[in-house]
Amino acid sequence: MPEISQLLPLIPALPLAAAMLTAVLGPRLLRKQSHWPTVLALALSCTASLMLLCKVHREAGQEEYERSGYEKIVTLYTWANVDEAYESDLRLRSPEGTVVISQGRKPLENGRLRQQSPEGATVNSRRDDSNKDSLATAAPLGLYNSEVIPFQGFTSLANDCRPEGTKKQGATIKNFRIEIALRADPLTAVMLAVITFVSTLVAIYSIGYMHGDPGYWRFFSYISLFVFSMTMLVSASNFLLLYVFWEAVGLCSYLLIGFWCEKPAAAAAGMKAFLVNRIGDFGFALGIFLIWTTFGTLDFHDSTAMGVLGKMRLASPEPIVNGAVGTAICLLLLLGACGKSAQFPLHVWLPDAMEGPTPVSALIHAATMVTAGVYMLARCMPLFAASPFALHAVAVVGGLTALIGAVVAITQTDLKRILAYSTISHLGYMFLAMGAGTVLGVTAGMFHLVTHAFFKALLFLAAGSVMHAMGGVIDIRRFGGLRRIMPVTHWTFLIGGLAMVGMIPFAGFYSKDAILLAVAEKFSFGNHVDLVYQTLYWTTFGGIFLIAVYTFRPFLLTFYGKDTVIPPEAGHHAHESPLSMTGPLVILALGAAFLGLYLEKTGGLAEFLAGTPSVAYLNRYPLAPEPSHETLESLHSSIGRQSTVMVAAGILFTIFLYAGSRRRLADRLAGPMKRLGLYQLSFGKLFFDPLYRLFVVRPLELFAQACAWFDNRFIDGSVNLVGILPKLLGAALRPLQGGLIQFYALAMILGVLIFLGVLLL
Amino acid sequence: MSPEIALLNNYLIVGAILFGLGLIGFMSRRNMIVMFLAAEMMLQGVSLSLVAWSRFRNDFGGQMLVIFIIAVAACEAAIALGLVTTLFQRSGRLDIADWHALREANQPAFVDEPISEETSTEEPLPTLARAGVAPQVPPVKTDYRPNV
Amino acid sequence: MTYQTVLQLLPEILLVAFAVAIYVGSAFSDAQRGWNRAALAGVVLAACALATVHYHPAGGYPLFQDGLALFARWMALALAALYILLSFKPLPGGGTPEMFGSLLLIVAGVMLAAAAADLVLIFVSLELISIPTYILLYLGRRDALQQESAAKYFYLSVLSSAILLYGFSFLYGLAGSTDLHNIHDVFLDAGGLPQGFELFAKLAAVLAIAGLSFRLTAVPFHFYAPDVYQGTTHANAALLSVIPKLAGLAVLVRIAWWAMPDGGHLALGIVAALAVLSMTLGNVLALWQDNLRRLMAYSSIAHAGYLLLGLAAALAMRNIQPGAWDGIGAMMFYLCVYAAATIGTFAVFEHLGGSTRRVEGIDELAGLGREKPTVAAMLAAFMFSLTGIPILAGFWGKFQIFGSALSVASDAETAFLRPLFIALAVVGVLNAAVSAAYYLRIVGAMYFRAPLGKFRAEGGTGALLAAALCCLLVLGLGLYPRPLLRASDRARPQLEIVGQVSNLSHPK
Repeated sequence: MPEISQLLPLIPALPLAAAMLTAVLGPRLLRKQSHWPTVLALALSCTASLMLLCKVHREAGQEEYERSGYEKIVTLYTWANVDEAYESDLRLRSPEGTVVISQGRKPLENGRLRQQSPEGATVNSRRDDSNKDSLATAAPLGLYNSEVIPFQGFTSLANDCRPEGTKKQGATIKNFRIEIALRADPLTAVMLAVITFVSTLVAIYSIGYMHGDPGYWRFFSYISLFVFSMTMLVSASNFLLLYVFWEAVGLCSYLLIGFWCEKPAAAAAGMKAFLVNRIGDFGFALGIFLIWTTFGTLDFHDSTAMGVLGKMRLASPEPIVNGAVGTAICLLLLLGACGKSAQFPLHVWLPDAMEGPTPVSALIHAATMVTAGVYMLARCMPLFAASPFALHAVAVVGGLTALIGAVVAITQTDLKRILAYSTISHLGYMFLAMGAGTVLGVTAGMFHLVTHAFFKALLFLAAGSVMHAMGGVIDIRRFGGLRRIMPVTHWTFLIGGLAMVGMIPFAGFYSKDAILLAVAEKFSFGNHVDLVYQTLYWTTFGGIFLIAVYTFRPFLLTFYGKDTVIPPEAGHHAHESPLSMTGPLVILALGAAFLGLYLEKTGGLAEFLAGTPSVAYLNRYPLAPEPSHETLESLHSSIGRQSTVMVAAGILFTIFLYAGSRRRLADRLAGPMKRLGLYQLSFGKLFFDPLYRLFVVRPLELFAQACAWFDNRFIDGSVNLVGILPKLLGAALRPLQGGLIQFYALAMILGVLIFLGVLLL
Repeated sequence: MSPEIALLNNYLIVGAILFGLGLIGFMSRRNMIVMFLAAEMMLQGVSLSLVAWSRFRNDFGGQMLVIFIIAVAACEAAIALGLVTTLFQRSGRLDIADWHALREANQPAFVDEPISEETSTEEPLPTLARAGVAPQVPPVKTDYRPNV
Repeated sequence: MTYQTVLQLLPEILLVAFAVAIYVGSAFSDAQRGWNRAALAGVVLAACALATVHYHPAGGYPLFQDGLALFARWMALALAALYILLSFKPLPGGGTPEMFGSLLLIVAGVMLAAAAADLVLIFVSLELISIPTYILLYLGRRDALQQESAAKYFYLSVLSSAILLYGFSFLYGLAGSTDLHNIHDVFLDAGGLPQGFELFAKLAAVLAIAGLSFRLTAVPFHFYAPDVYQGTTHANAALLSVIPKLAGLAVLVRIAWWAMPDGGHLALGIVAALAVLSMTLGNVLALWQDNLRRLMAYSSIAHAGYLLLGLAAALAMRNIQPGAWDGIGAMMFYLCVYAAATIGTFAVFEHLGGSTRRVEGIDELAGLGREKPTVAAMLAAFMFSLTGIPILAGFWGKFQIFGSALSVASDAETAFLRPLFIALAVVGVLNAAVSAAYYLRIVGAMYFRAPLGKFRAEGGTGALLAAALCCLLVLGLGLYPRPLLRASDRARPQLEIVGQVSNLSHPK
């Protein structure tokens, strides 16, 4: 079995190779066979991920990692390293260094040095060489002594809010390394396995779904590029690298949302996703800057300096960073996570992103990319653990988003948009779990991330199958009774739906209950009553009912009904999808059905994830005393019972409203809702878009117009003026080049004479 | 000033004069062969000062350099002759100023303005008539200066 | 002359032997093909011989074996290989063997010049570069413009040789020896210069720098460059824009920086002035050019300015402080990346031309991006690299140069030079911005204009291969500059030379 250091780089490398191969060969050579590189690379990558998972699982189980957690760093390439130069500089100026210098060199007047003896010469040259080597490595980034001085200000600032034990590290704050370092730890291994597995299935599904599209090769090239970026994102061991690939997945998302860019809605949606994400990324970048100024490093792991989330730092029970700086970092990171994971108030881009091809929605906008925010929060949990306010903020954002998504999803008529809002809502649940700031919360959130990846990808792909059959129609009011012509899609959708609503024993049940447990644990024990978590708990508990409604409403409308209703656009497509599409559906359905049960009963995932250094830290230094196992278990089972009742009620209510001929009941119920304005509120997506347009976009547009006017009138004028100066100077000098040799000779001699004159006079 | 240094000074001054004359010749003459000869004169000036230094320093390195200079100058003379010959074959003239087609795009071409021969304004002194018949000298074409 | 000396000289000896063989062989054969392979074989053999030459950081007579010598010799061989590829197709008008023979001689001259530790050897090796260059300029095309460019180069080069020699004569007079080590010692000894000899030191510095500046195409010794480049072939222009620069820089470092330790303050002002003048004049005049070779000539002048900026930094800070940047290493690095981009550019032009027609104006490149995307992409990469856009090698070059200037400005020992070097760096950066205008004009013509006619691209695959290699270099060094940075950093000659080291290697 290959080593981790061999497997880990392979996982992103294969999709990258596939992306480049497809981009180069796709348009001319591969054409309709463009899916092969991608499918093969993803399948291999998936195999490698699963092997990595096994390997990490085996190694993390060893006793030595029990307390501090397991991590393995694979440094592929150090791009720039100022640290070495700085250290060699220190070495030179150390007392020992001066001894060497005084032996080898005798200082002469005005700074000249001369070698005195052959022995001295050898000592000197060897030392010089080693010094030069490190200088050479330092040179590309050009930070030398004087330039790093400004950081000392930050050092003192950082020292103030850091615990005593780490203050001595202030000396190494001048290091600046750009390292392409990948990490293998349980968190990364799980993410990699999920990403590559789902993306492999989605790639296979796309063979059928994208068949005949003019941009066939482009699609697969983008998908591979996305998988490369996403795997790099989760395996990066450095905030800078994380940010780079954070942007890279954003770029892939933009490209794929606007895949059919000739469609104005798709182009606009791509733009919107990109712009909204920019707000989050801006916060994320600021957070990274703040981390750099506070810690002096961006590495997660310990390298030459103590990493931000390295074992050395996490070994201390003290909070990593206290006070306002800590809270600011956490809130900025949260802003970044909100952008990528479509959380309130930056959730507005995700529903529009459904303009992209359905496999993209399934892969990027449901299963993988949007969970990057959750991953980042899990990774940075030790930072958040120090700031109760930030944890509250995460929990509130999550809870609020969960509710907003659920409320809006109830009345939508676009099948994919319903699923998009459900994604938003579920991501909200995950954020809520992260907001608990406990091991229970983090593992529950990750658990839900895994099961959600399966059932939401399944639902999207099933919706895509419906859409494929209906000739691109996605409005649930325009078709019905499809279970007769699309049995596989129907059954897999049902399994996905049951998993999503959290019906026992499907996957969602266990992960959702784990989240509820994690939140309940925050206020059920001990004497401190945390109202925030209590409110959130009951809100989201109520949300379960809504989930059931918004899941089964489209399901019933699509697949049930007395007659089979097919829109005219469907044409001859109205039949079950090909095997390449149904195959992945079935595999995902198996996962959605049994994965939760398996992971819950073996208890493996939570235990495994607890071996991540960031999570192990929470385990070692919990925020509050942990309740006993028995009390937790009883709470867990009571939550399970209550939520099952809730789900069952929701499903029955929906069936009562929509099944069979009683569909009018729903309309009758909608009447008073409309009168109250609640229906419009939900249908209008809580009017976020118009509000944003009115209060954010319009003022900005006006400001931009004013700026443009000023820019055109004044700035451009002056810039053009400056730009024309060199040209005028050139014109003035051109006559010098008249072509006569004698003149050239004269100019040379004059040059010599002028230099001589200046020197001699 | 010791006699050695005085001698050195004299040699150096002569060398500098040779170099300067060569320089002026290089810049003022338009005949390609004469230009090259002027450059050679500069090299002779250099050679002279090298030899002077060599004698002053009692070191033969300078004289060695002079021998190399002479050898290289001979090479260059061969190349120069070949070059001048081909250039002459193309233009039919030895004037270096003919060769200025390569220049900045918008610059006017160099126009050779004929310089009229100097004539004295004073009355010529009366001379005795010579015996015999004066030969008929053909008039000189003056579109260029034949004796540059 | 010992056996060791012969071994050290073996690469040059091999090159000259091959050149002579090619010259003589061509007298008995009318063949135009095959000579390129012979020349390539010579270069490869010379490289093998060079691989046996050991690195020795200090001393050496008559040849240095230090980093600068080895760096320049390897670089010269690499350039030779590129040129042979670039001109792989036989010349249309005959004279192919002579061309390759001259090329080998020129390369041998450059290698000698970089390693020479004696004024006589320096002079001879510089002439070994010049004389074959005259022949090379004369070969190729036989039209009036080519002949004019050969004549211009010849006369001005002779003049510059004379000026350089005059400077050498004073250098010799000061030291009483042609050995650079002795000259170095004379300058180094406190009060070593006899009374009244400062005049000669100044004369020597000015004249030597002036003579070498001709080879660097530094303003005001640059005038020949635009005319000569425009008149000659692409291959010759590529040669002229890099090879004399390499030799001139190496000799300049040896003489102005290494052999005249106290000459630093003499040379610094001149070099700084040359740098500013070259950068500015080269860039502003390049803005007006339509002829590609003329444009590249001005670009070459401008880049000479950047190179001299590195030399100025080295002159200002002879004892490199730990953590500071070395101007000489920066210069050598810059020269490498400049050479890669420039040769690549000319290789692309050569490739695009036909056997009867050359690419002349920028307009002829219009629409290249659509017609020949690969070639256009390579040319764009070269242009971006010459501009100094990040991730391409040119960026690191500019970065190193400006970094070395700024590290002088930030050093406490050279604090009195801070305004000068900050000003130099600012002028350099402004010039880099100006240069973007004309480089991007070429890129713009390729990508944003409709093609005027069909691209013949009959320049042969050799030129294409040379361009591809250069492109690989430009990209590779941009992404992974460290190996070259390390090598160029070692190119800084050691200063700690004392009498006994040179005595050891001296016959006296």
